[in-house]
Amino acid sequence: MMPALNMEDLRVRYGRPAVEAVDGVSLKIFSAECVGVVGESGSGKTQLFMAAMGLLPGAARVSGRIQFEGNELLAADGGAIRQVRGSKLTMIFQDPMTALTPHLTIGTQLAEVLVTHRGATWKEALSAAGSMLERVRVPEPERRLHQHPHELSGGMRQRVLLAMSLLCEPALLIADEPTTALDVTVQAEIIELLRAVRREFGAAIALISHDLAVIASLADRIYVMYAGRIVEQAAAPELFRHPRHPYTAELLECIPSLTGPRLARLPTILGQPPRPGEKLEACAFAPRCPRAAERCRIERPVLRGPSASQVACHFPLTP
Amino acid sequence: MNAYAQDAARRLRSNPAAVAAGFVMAAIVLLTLFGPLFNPNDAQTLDWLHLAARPALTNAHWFGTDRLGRDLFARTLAGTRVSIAVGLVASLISIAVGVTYGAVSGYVGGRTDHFMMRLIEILSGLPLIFFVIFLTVIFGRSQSLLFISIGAVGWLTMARIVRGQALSIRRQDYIAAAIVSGAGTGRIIAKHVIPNLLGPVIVYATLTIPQIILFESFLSFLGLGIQEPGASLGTLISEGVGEMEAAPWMLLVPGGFLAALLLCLNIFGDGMRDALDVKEG
Amino acid sequence: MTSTAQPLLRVRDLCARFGSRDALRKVGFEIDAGETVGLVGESGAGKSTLARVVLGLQRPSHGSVEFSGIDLIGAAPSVLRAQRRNLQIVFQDPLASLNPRMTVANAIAEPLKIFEPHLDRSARDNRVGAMLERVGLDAQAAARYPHEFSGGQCQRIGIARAAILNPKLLICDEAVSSLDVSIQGQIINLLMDLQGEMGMAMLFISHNLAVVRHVSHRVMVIRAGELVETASSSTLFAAPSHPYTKALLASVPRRPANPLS
Repeated sequence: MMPALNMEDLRVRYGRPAVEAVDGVSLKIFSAECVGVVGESGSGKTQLFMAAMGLLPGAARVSGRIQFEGNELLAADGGAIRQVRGSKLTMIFQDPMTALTPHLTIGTQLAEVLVTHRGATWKEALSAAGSMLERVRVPEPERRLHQHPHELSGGMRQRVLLAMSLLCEPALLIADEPTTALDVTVQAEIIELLRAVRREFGAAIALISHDLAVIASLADRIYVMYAGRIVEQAAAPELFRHPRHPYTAELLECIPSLTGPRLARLPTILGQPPRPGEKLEACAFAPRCPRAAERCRIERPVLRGPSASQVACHFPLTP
Repeated sequence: MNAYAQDAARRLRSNPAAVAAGFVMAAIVLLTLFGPLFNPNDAQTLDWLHLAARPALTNAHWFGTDRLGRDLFARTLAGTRVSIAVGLVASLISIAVGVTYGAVSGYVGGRTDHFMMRLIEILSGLPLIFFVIFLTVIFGRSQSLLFISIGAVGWLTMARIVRGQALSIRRQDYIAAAIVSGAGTGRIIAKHVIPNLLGPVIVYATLTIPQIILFESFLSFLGLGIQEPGASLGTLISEGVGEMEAAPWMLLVPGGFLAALLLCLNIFGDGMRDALDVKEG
Repeated sequence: MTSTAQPLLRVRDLCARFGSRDALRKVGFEIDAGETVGLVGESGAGKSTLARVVLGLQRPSHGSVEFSGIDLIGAAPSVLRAQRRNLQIVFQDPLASLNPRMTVANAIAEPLKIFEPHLDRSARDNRVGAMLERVGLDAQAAARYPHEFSGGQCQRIGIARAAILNPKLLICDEAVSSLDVSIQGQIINLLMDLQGEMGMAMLFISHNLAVVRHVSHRVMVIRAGELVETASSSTLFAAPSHPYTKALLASVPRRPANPLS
């Protein structure tokens, strides 16, 4: 089965001497599945998908392959990306305010997508926009069409963005920290909405987040990234029950719980994620890993294992 | 601090126009300081044998003489020295006054800011020339009066710019942190507000200096600034205009020096702005 | 906590505005010496406004704030300034809370320069050095500038500055919200350690309910400027009484079960 998105050995570099934001990542997303990509600062998770969307700054040097529905996106002229971006391959961001044009009405911005990509008339497009707003559970959709972004709350804006990204029935929707800037009650609503979107539209979703709990609510499969590399990949229930990479296990430990016993000290991972400029010869996590041995400091671990469950570690945790 | 300065210096160095302008300015300054050593003539001696003589390499007056036989080269160098000195001192006064005024107004805000800004608006409305004439009439002509009046008028725009910066700095978390640490208003303005607005100040200052030099030249040209026996480029140009047809070198030499100086200052100022303008941090 | 001792901080009937709306409506609570009180609520509920009013950064329209028995609202500026050494804050954005043009050493030393001006240069440097070490930073950090450090490190610097005078009350306004999950624990543990050593009280403001649960002795829930529930940490999370609290707790996405715990 051909994946909706297939990345092979993707690298994103900046500057000279080169700093690697994404360091050899291979990733697949199949149609109708929800893939979670979890990582902290410096993990490269956002850069990865910005590369797929062709939204990286000019200074970025990208190598490797990105195939969307079989077509190579990294062609020299960027034509391939422009064809699918905004229609078949869409993205919503953490801060909905900056993604919406302040002086245009919601209706105009939504309709524009259909007029541009589907050749619809404005009348048809506005009507479709209204229906889509209803499908993403925006109350009083007709009224909203005539409002401006600043008149809507954060949660409402995120729904509008979601509507915009669904108008052309995308094969893949990339959601980059969609709930991070939202209050916890609104966050729950957006998560529920994304679940509904999957059922009703059949689109694949790439959910990028630093919040494992949010990913747990939605993802079928999860990639864990650290310092620009993938360190583990597994089906969601398997990842949480039997994490194989020490970073994954430690990260799960760090999430404080609402129900277990109250702790006198919160769990943490010593040290900090490597900063973009720090050169990493061997295992990027070794300086912070409680299981690190000499081999980890010399030899870079490679992602190994069956396609259902892979880990890049010399001494992975065993079930 | 050093990292920003180094970065800016690097950008400045890679700007060929600014570097060239910098060299020419340095050459002019060196000339004004050391030129007299090589020139057999001084600015005051009257050479009866060569009244209004053409520039020539043979007769030891390389740039000619004026009506009274004074060596034009020496006079021009002296005049350039005066113009640069006045320009720098007046600029420093205007920067110091402008930055302090603007920082206080922007940071303190409220009624104080309101009052201080109205004052600036009133002063901005006064035509510069009349203001200087007025001061000259009351206090008579003197070099220090010139410094003060030019500097005192040049601070207005600097104050406005600084006030704008101070208004946005005031909202930063580190200002709140300083208040919570017990710092008083004076300390906050001196240690937290002003150091963070130096970028725009430096840029504006490099553009203010040529404006002030030009203004002083204009005043001297009108007979309000430096007068005999001292001379700035403005006075020399004034004399030169009178002799334009008979002895054009009397206008061209000081005029050329002034034009070169202003051009280089402006190019260098633009270079500084480009070097410093990249978002810091 | 004896009942005869006066509370360290007593806030009564506090009302304040934020722009055109009421940010705080008759808020009242107490904090005793040495205890950690959590304040949870959603954005716009008034958490940060409350911090600003208590710290004297914003005037309330009504109400009183008493710190160690002294009324801070009506106090003369010199009295307020004198109390500042005992009432400190750690901000949400670690880098923005540090003056970009000041070295780390100068930033941490500033409270010392203000409140202990009699200290000579080397005594002050020693105190700063000791504080840097205490918060887990290298002595070489002293001469560097904030932009050279990561978010977690900047927060340590902010904590060093806030703690150097041994304040009695430390307000943490979303102090770990912008940090990586794997680092949050480090900063919270540091705060709790300092609290143990210095006996200071903390007002821990956060929208992250789970973190607040572990850190606080008591928790207050604020909604639209009003405190809707206050209870001990264990009680509030196990058996919340107010419907809003219940709704908040129900919205938190469930933490995936972890085999290591």
